[in-house]
Amino acid sequence: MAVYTVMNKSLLVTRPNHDITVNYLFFWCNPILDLAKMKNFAIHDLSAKKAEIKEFESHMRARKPALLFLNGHGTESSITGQDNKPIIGMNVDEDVIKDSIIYARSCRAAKQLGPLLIRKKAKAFMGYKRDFVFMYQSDHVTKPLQDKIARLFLNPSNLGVRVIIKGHPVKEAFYRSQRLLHKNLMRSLSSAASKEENDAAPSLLWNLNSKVLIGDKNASIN
Amino acid sequence: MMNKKATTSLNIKPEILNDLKQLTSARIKAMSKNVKISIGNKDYTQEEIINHVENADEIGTQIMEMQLEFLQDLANGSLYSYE
Repeated sequence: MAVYTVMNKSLLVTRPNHDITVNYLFFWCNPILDLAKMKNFAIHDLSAKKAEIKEFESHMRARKPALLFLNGHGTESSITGQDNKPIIGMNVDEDVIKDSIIYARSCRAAKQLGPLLIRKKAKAFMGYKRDFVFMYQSDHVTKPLQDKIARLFLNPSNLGVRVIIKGHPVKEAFYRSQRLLHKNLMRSLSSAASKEENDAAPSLLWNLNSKVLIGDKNASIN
Repeated sequence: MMNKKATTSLNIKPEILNDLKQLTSARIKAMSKNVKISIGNKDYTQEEIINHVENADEIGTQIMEMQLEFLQDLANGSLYSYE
């Protein structure tokens, strides 16, 4: 009798775009979506107006994505979608997030929401216990992917998701993402850094000290 | 927003808070004018940050905390390693 392994290679991304901050996150999701496509993931892209609670919960229940990448503003107890309306909060049903690996690129959600999602049987949660901070060049707001200052912050956070998509455990994703952030911090303090890169150093350190991983650190997509 | 009380506590003496405000404002003033900082659900220009620091409100306190954390880690050397 043949044995088949069912691969749940699916990714759900929420990415509102109603203000400059979330618009940067919106664009920086593009390389993630490209990679997931290349790796044959089923992709559920809840972008702009689709980043809202009904759409989110219905996709989560129906598709059961292995990886959930939340982008948006956040508080200790919620993460928002388009127009700052909550997309997930403390009253989320267990069947919405059960067995998912969750990465929240938002402020403070690792403080209360993250631990709650783990209690509600999410496999792992990576996020920030304080505000997620980034700097950007004001003359690059229409081309966020070309912003060299925003890149110092958003490339390391993207790396966390990339490593998970490539099938590695979340602990490796966390470590490699933090290592790259630290490398960028060191670069910002070096003599090779531009004035703007040097200005970014305290904010880079802030993010480095704010990111946490909870749940099953060996969880992976396979 | 400008008068919002700080929710993060810096837990330092008032006279030191004054010094920290001055130090933070000086460091922010020295920053490039071409960059903005996104914190929470808003982004801030250099001038706006300085106002928040002078008012020692929630955002201002957070900026001071960020600068203090950076300077402390720089001074004790912990900033140079990540393992």
